[in-house]
Amino acid sequence: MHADTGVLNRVGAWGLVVASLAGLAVSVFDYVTPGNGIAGSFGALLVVVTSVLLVAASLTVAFALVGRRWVRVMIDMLLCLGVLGTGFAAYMLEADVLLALMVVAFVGWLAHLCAVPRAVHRPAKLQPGVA
Amino acid sequence: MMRPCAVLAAVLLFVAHAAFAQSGQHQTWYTFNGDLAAQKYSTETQITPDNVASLTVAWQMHTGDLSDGSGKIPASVWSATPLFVNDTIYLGTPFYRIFALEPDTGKVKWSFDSHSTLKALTQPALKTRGVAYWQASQITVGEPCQKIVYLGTMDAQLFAVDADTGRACAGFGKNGVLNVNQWNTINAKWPLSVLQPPTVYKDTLFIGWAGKDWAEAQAPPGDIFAVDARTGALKWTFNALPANIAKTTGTSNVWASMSVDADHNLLFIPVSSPSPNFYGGNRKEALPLVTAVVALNADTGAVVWSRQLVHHDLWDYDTNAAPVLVDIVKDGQTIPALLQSSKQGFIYVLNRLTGEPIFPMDEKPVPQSDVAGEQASPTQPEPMTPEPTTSAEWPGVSTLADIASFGYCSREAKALRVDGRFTPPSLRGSLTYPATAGGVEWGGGAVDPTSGTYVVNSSSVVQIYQLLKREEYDAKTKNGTPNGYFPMNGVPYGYYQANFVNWLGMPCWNPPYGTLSSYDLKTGALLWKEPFGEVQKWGFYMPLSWGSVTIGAPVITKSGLILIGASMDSRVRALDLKTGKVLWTGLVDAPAVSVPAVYNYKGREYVAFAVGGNSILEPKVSDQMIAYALPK
Repeated sequence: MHADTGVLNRVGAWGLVVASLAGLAVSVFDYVTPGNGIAGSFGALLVVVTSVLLVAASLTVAFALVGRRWVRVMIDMLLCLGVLGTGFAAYMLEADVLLALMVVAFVGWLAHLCAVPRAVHRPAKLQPGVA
Repeated sequence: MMRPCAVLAAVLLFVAHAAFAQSGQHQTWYTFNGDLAAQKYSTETQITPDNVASLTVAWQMHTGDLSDGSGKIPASVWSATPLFVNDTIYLGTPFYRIFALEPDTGKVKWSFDSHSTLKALTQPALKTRGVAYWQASQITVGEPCQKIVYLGTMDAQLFAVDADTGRACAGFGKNGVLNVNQWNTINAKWPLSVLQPPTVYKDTLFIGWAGKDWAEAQAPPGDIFAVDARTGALKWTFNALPANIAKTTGTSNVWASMSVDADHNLLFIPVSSPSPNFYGGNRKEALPLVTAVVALNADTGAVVWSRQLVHHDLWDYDTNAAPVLVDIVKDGQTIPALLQSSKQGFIYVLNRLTGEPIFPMDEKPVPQSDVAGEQASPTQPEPMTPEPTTSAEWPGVSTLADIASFGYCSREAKALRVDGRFTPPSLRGSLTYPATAGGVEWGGGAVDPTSGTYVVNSSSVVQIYQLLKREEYDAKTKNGTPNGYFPMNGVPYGYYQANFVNWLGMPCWNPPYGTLSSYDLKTGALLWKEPFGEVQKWGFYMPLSWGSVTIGAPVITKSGLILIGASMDSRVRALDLKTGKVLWTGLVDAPAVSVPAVYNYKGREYVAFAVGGNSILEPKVSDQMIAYALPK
């Protein structure tokens, strides 16, 4: 069961990476492609920037580059905000593919978060004289 | 028994009829509004509400004539209706060139360059609303200029070129150019810009013009010139201003399109407001033909009837769209009617032979001016049927904009004069709704003459109108004129105007900012009214319920579709005429601020848009000409 949770955690993290990378590609494409209604706009540039940050943050999670727990928690929270914010921006930009990728990224984030491997429980030591 | 020659005649008639039927005899789109009645109605039925979802780009081309204003050339505003006539698409561009295109491919047949000056002599941008077309009733084969395309320019020249070859028609004006400015003899402070294509009826061109608004109290008076279509020789002139006041005021011109009732030989003209636009102390005389709709005898220019829509105009409520001519069946009677849309949001429904209202229209008391020297009209005509496109009261403060501006919107609304419709400009500033941007702009509405359905797009814009005493105005502008300040030279006040927005540019008033409405002309009842288009800011699309400010106009097809660009979001749309539901959307390069053309060529129906943009909506310009059709 612990092994399954770990796999789900890694799948979630890597799903987040893949969706973020794809989101970055799509957002760059949207920004530079004339005739799509949002090319060159501030909004399209904004999602390029947030996608870059998402990619960077999701890679740190996937490669477990951060050891400190509080930093991991903070990155997880920022990832959540980044995915939701980029998704909302994509909705407002009517960038449907990017929106779909952010949905995938959010599912990955959920999987990663909900399937965090539990700490290994060691057997409690019996106290002498206790029956 | 039939004689042989009778049989031959019958056979020839049959063959001719068959050939006629095979050719399709499809409707041409030969004027700015499709036809002379300005109905913007197409009899084509190939594209329907059921199949319009599969509409696709048939062809597109770019004229190359565009400017965003960042360089030496002023920004371009391209609002041309593509004409379909003589088996050709004709386009005029804001660089004052004419293109003749293949209707099924967009391939250029020929182009003509007027080499006109590219300076914004009167308007803030290089503008055109396209070309006009004339052809002789009897075509002489081999003779040039039996069919002519006309293009007006910012510097008041009217060019005539052969519709088949693109060569100048030497017999028109001087070597194919008519100098309209030769008739600019009173208060000639700027040229009479011919930005709206002339109206063509029989062998006459009716030429209106545009000037430089808000700058001068004494301005050129708004003559209309009727000239010979072949030669440019002047036939008659109409002036909305009496001769004794023409020097002390001005404009009251016709800068929008006109319409013609060929059965009754009547020319209908929408006359704009006199100068200066926001103070009338220099023009207190009764001027019944200004801010009015006027019917003229097309042969003589004599006034047959007139109806003033705004008395003593202080709001720049120019009558700004061609009257739409349609017969209305009301209470079992067929009435020859005229529909006049307006910036103020009223739709005036008049008997086009008499000018009398078909639905009740009252003179209602309106707020009075508190500005020294001004005397506002005590009443204004207000038709309540059909329901106005804009409400009587302004839409109120937007909570979102108010919060975002830390209460600026509500504070400002309390500080301004707000007395409802026709609140006059004031020294402390008046909240004006609807403002000069409309209501309904120059595109006007479209009508389905068979069902008696009228459709019109309308904007909801709130502006601040403020008069400034001359010394105060001079002090504010001594180091250059900031945006929003206009001199109104010649009267004791300068003028300041601004959209009522907060520091983020958010409108301080509640949405929707634009709507599309449908009316039953038999009763005047509103059938439906929906927010139309989308507002886009920084690329983000705002909620559909907000709608969009619009410039441009709808077209109705016999198959039950509304086809329209006009919105800020650079989209063109097809809607169900019955419900107003959007059935199809196409993305284009800029706002399509024009009247689309619907035509059938070689059995295929096309919907064509000139996509030019308009800096009033947003700083996005294009030179795209795009045509849609069903897949082959």
